[in-house]
Amino acid sequence: MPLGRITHNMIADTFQANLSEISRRLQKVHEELSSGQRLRRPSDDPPSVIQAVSLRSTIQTNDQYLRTIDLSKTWLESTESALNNLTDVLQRARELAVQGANAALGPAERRALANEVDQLVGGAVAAANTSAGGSYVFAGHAITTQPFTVSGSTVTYNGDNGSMSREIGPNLLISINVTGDRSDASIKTVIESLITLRDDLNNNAGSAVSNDVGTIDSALDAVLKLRAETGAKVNRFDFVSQRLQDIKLELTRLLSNTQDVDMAETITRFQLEENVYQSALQAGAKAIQPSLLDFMR
Amino acid sequence: MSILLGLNTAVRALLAQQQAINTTAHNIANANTPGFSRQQAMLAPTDPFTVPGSNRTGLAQQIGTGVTISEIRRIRDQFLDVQFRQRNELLGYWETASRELSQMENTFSEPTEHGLGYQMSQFFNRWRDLSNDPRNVAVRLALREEASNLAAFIRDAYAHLKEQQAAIDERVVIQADQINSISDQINALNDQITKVVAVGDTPNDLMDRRDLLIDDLSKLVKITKIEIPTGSVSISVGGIQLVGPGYATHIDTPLVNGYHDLQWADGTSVSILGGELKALLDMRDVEIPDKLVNLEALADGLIDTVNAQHRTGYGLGGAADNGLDFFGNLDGTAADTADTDNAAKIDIAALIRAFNGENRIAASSTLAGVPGDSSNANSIASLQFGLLLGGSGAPVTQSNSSSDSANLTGIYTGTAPMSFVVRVAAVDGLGRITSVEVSTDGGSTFGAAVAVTSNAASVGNGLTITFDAAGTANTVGDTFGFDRNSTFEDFYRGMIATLGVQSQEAARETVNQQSLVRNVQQARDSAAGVSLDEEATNMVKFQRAYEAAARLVTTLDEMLDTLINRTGTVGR
Repeated sequence: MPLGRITHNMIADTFQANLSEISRRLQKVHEELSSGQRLRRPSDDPPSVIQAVSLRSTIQTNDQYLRTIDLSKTWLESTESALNNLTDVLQRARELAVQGANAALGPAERRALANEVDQLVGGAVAAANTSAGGSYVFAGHAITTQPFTVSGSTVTYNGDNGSMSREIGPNLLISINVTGDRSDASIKTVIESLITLRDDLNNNAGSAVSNDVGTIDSALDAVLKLRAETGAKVNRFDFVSQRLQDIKLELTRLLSNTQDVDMAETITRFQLEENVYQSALQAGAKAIQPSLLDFMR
Repeated sequence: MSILLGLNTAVRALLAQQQAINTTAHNIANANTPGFSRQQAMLAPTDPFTVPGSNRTGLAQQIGTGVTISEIRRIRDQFLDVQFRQRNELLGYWETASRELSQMENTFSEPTEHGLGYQMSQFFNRWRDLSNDPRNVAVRLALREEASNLAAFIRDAYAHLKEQQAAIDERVVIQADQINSISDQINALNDQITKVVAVGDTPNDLMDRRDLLIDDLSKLVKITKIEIPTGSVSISVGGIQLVGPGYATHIDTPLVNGYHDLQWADGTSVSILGGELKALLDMRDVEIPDKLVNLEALADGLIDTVNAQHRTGYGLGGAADNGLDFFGNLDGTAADTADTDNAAKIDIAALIRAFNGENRIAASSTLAGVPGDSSNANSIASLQFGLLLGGSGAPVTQSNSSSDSANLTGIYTGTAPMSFVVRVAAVDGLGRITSVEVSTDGGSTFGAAVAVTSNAASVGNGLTITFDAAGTANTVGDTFGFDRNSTFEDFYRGMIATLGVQSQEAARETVNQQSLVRNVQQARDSAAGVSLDEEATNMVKFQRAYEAAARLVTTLDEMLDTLINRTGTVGR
């Protein structure tokens, strides 16, 4: 402020400049209050904006991973329930096999048992052809082709050994599917063991049936192995999902801290600016008006 | 000595006070005129008469003869004018820069959920959706839609920046016209002022008008002003005289490479060093091209990496859907990263855009894997965290020298300050490049030599130059290129951060300069502005003096009346 003369224009200009500066601040606080956001454009606070962009992208991708986990779990649950069915079928088949191995049984009785085993074969094939969302779960990559077809005593696996990987973290891929004809635990072999049992019962081959008990036991082991594997994956997905949700909570809190308005602080600031604005108006009204001319006659 | 001398004095007083009141009236009338400096009627006593003394024999006596207006003075502080114009030039620069930069910020809509960063994440997340259900048509359509949005966003951003550049170019022409018009007006005023000064008067109001024009000019461009004793001023822009005594030239705006260049009449470039015009040129020629190159790098990166991965995969159609590009050009042709306007024309490839084209999106990485395999979709999704490869800007070229001294020159333009000029510093006996020198200022100064190890030289800012020499030797004649060691997101964030910081600085400087200009303006007003209180006081002062002078005439009249009518009446 110069020490020399003060002219009316100076008072008016100062008043105008200050008023527009106060209005600008008031407008900014008002914008923050009404939008709830502190950051409107990169220049508001470049480091925070970059952090916000970064956090939002991480949250977005995390949400995507959570969605992937949900979908994968549906798939895994279908797999699990199919394997459960297979276990039930095999357990019943084992009981029937033990019955059928009894040397006292005649051909008619064995045929009756064979009829029930035949039903079980149907159940096992249905379980092995389980689909989730229109895709066969045990078919490998050939998700649109029914993986198991039975004609007479021959079981054909129409799927492949393709693995389905899902990304549930940056560069973290987990395979979610069980293929139908793995060398270590084959569902095809499981169905074949049931068919052998049925045929042996039909043929009234008592000693073969007692051998079949062992085959069915190893089929049960194979299915249990697959169940254990699938269960472990479900647990892993649950664990990752839990962790992602924790992270999401933390990231959302951080994002909110970065970009959202601190209401208490901003309202205080708004009231302060409002007071300044009103004082400026009042002072301006007093300072601009008077002139020597008012007092001259 | 006579009474009539007194009458003369009184008349002079009447005229002088009247003149002073006129000046007051002029001041009051112009109290709100921009650029007006208050004027003062300088009262001075007139030359006295020397008369022989009646009481001091032999000595002359001086009798006052009254008052006159010696000059009407313009009250103005030239030093403040110089300060004002310096500040005004900076204000013009930063105001314009801030306005344009904040418009550039709008282009990218950060940090919102409509921004490019968000769209990019969405794009990669749609690939993850595809991976979850590779034969689902709805998912494929959603991916195609998202990719189309991303491409459209990049194209729009490119178009916005181009439009802004064109609008700035128009403003450059308008401002050149303004400068030319001011130059003409100052020339005309110079002429009038010189004529008035020649006859010994001071053309206050003409000078005010000229000063106002110079104030306006100082905001547009950095000027140097020289006062010439004849009353003219000479004004130079970038060391060349724009207007001087009896001389005014124009700045021409011919089109050079699609934009208007600023040239003097003889074809030499005008060197613009400050003001709004400098900001416009900086934005048009440096900042916007820089953002365009960044967008181009992003588009190139998408085209390069996504297409390369996509080509290895298979769509639902099996063997027929192999080796296809995912991104292409808007006109349906194949994209080429060697093009420099990919950001202007990026779109999903024509085959994928076509009816049922979504089924051609290659989710499977093997033919046998169709339709259940989605590992190719996974691979594309993971590009989000991969490196943004692909060159951009002017390609690097090299010339093979016949002798053993090799020359290697080229310019790479990327995010500021990522403009590099590279040349070979040393070669070994086999002609292999062993070190390069890098310049970041367009080739005027080069930094210390950077050694080439394993066919690569790191030149800073996350950039390496790689020499594609099939792992054998990097001899002159090999092709080489730049690799950018940042991911899509890092690259984009860096670009937004740079823009944010630039815009923030411009806004801060604008506020600073506004307040400095206001301070100088206040100081100027304090010296030159009209104070109505002061003028009212003067008015009363001059009015009273006028009344007193009038009273003097009456008094002298009465004295004459006494002398003429009342004396010598004895003989009547």
